[in-house]
Amino acid sequence: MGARGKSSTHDTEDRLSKLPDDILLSVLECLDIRDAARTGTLSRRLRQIIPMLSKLIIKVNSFEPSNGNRTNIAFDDLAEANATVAEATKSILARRKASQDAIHLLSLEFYLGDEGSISVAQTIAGTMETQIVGSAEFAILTKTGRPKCTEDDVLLHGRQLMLLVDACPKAFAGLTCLKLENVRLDKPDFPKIFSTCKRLEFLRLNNCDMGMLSLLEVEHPQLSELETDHCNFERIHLKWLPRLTKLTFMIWIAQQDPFAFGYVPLLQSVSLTNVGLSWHKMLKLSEVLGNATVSTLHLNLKSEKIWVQPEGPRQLLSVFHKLRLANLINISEECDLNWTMFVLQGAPSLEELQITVQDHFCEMLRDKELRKQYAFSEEKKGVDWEETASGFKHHKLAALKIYGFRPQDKFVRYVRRVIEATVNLENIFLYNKIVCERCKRTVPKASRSPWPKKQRFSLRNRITSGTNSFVVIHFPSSSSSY
Amino acid sequence: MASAGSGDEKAAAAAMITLISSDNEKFEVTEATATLSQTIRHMIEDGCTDGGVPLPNVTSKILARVIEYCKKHATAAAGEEGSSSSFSDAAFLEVDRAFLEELEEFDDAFLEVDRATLFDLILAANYLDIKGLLNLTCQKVADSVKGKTPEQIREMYNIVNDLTPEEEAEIRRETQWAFE
Repeated sequence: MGARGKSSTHDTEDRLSKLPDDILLSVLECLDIRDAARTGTLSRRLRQIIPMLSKLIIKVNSFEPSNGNRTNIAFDDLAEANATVAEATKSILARRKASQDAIHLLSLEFYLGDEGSISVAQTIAGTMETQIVGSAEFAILTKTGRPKCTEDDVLLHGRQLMLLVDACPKAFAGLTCLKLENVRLDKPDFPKIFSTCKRLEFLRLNNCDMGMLSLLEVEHPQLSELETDHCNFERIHLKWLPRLTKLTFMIWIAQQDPFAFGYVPLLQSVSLTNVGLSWHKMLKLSEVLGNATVSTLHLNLKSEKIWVQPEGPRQLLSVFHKLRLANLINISEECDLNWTMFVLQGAPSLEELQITVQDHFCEMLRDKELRKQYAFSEEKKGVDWEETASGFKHHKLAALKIYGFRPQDKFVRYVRRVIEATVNLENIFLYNKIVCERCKRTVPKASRSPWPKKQRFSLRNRITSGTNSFVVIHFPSSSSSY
Repeated sequence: MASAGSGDEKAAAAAMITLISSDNEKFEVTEATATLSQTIRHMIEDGCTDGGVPLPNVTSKILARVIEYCKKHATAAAGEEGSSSSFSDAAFLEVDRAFLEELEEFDDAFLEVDRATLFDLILAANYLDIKGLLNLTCQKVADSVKGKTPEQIREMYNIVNDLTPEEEAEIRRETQWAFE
């Protein structure tokens, strides 16, 4: 490039088209599929390059009249957007030659229940037959969103989903990632989906079930990540998942343990999120984690009643002995923190303990009548926990992070307690009260300014005086993005 | 914060590498800076950097910019290692966040160049195999195309329409969906 003339020629030169194929493709792969296709109409060179894209992400949202909020869009418009997804998929994949390099990523998001969805799946099935596809993803949306879904809706969606699977089993057989929502299936349907989608590595179920309080059994040779959200199962039995590494379980209605583990030898990370209602069982981690030995555990309490029953180290050792990171999220501001010590006491390998304390108003139901109606707990949200082992020392913990720290006795006492119970604690990070941007409007008083120097000094004193600890206490200013 | 910037300069002073541009200008850089380029990293590993590394595809003007980018990002990389949080979870350290913000600002300012320079940077990043810089510059080109009409893009990049009217009609049919 240096040998070429002065900048005057550069001004009229078509540098874009002269880029080597792989770079031009990297540029085009940064574009939305629509912009990429438009660019393909500019010249012969650009027309030829489009079918060589190895990353194809086609989302129905980008063809909807107003981006995003499905609830305000008419069904016809959604169907039209779906038809456009089908057309885009067909037109781009039709021009790929079988001899070409593998497609690294084929990601489709579309609505269930019309010809568009069948057409997309058929096109993908055809592509999978003739070409090598690395990752293939279907995010199958329903035109009626969760808040508006009636029982009839979820049943209809269930039938539509199975029609789609039956119409294009080859597409489903090639998927590595599947996201489903708002479907109620018959009993044999889930096993059928699992056996059809034999390459599946990631599965997300949002508001999916087989009727209220049904039992789901999951067996799959490849599945490594499972996410469930608002699923009305009585229990999910993770019966045989030899590759499962990550489980994310959000919002359950079961009155007993919401899941049970069978063979999950590789499970590393478990993340549980629930709004504890008055009838929810207090989960005993020693029981619910069963034979799993995870290294990362996230518990999100959604600023409501704590639904984890603290247990003694003897009960927990078998499930906690490999635990390295524990993250307790959204503990209500009205709760005491002492109960969290059971995690430290039960997990001898723990290296990092993260705690977030906040009443996250924009996610909470605050109307008194509604709280009663939905059986939100009227008792206190916290749990009592009496430490049994006095003189307990933890040898591995290196970092304690508290988000939503306040300079109150409750917090200071807690941090002192952790310091006293640990031998190798190196760093403590105390983040100021967290305010999410949406909450901010309802809690005008809250500030997220950094700690004033004077306050930091006095806090350090209050926390460490008399402990003989060399731990470094950091006061980062907290972010609103949490 | 004490942990923020420590440990980045230590290793840097150890080894210096000389890079030689196409117009024979010499640039002295630290190994940490130079090895952001995979191409140079391999040359160092193969022990063929004595007497300088000739880069016949890169002018001094562009090489100076590339080095500026690498210096900044090498420091950032060292900083990230220094502030090792054992878990790269959602709740990452404040220092990391500050670093990232600063880096983003740097990148934005770095990309304020004319189009010819941008393409020169792309080719240099490709030749030197600097992934971050290549992604950054490709993204910049892509951003400039977003939401534009074909005519606007043609004009912007001097793209000559070499399609026959028949071909053009066919393409229009095929990609009608992208224009609705």
